[in-house]
Amino acid sequence: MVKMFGIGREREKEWATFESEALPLMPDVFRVAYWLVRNREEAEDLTQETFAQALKSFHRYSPDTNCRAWLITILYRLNGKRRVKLGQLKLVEDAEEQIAQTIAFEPPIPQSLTDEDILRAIERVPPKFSQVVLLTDVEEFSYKEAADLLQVPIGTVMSRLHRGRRLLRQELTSYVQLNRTATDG
Amino acid sequence: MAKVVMDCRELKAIMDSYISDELLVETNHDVLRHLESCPDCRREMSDRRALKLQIRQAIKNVVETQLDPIFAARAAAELREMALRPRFRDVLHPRILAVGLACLLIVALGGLILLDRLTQTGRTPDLSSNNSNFAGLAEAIRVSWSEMTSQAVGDHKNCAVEFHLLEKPVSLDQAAISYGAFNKDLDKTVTTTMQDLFKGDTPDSVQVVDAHSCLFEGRRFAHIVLKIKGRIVSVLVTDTDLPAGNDDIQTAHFAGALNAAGFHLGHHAVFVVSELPDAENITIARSLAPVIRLHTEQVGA
Repeated sequence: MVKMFGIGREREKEWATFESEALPLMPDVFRVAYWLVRNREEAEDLTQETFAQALKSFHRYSPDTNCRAWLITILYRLNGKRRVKLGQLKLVEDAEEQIAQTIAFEPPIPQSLTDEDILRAIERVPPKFSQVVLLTDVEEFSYKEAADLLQVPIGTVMSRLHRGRRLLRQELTSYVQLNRTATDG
Repeated sequence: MAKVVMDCRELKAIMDSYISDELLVETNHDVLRHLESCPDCRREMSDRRALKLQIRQAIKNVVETQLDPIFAARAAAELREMALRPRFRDVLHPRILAVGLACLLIVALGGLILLDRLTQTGRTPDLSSNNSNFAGLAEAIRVSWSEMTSQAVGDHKNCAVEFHLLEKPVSLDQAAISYGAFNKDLDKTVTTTMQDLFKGDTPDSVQVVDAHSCLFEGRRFAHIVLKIKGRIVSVLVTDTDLPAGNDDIQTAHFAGALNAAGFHLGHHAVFVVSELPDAENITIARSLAPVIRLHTEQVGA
């Protein structure tokens, strides 16, 4: 019946659009997913789930809009549901805020950093702050887009970003100092 | 008024937003003005830019965040299969919905035609039975008949008595072409019958006042206005799709001492409306029933 009404052809056309617009963004979606869950297998599951959901809702996607932002939005919503299911939403966010606020000084930017230094430092920054840094500084979303993705006010994005960058610089400084001490010793 | 120059502490607070191009144009100008005269902040700005770039490269290049090509190929294949598989929402596709609706309409129309056939062949279910469906149908017919009677009385008042019609009446000859053959010479049939009925009275006891086709509240009537015993009497004939019930003459009473007697004839309903007593209205209606039936059969209406 579907063939008889030409719906099969429409579906093939929809798939072709999805294949050319959404599928090439899979590496980007996976990268964001990885930094959200920090586990390859979980990140792959989340990526696949995101694309399956996007495919189901693709008739609602407007071709001229930002497909990457649309996919990442789906990813964040699915991750939110996943965290609720895993009971992970009770993060000690107040404590994280307090940690961030205790950094009263502006840490200096350490020189001659390696990629490894940066990755280990980011891993030590609480996800709430590192996520904003990753979305804006790495994935190059605007503050407004990051606010929409995280479903928080733009002011919250700005303050978390400020604290996140400061925490990251502090982690980098202490990581580099620690390594230098170990090497000197 | 002297312009307040941004200091180093203020600049450092918004430096990252400046690098991300998230500041207002005016603030960008203030930042640039400060940077022109502050080598320390220029160095800090340069370091932060370099760090941002390095973070971006490190994150994008790290092996853990690289998509496995095998996973990507498998996911794409599964998505393709899912995309081309029939889905529930296909059923809601406008084309399928349209065909489905058309089928429903055909079934409904078939049902109506069947009901019409049943009524024409005299196999109409007993409307007075206790079956709730038929009771509902009987009630609907009763309401429709009552509405039609009110319209006939309204037409009598607004056309024959007060001349308040919105649309100008047309001749019965013209109505015979446009609205049904039964209009043709209906006035002659009615007048002759009435003159026969009242022939024992004075010679001018039946006078024809007017005969035409008129519209009242969306319903078209063949309207013969007579003056019988000095009273205005309307004989109104209209099309109806109501299923035929029994052949009884039904009476109804309205404000202004108006009485109506009506009966059903095939696809027509006939009403006699006047201030005459019920008994006289019924007599008129009863004498008209056979002749109007013959008239409609002759003209093939």
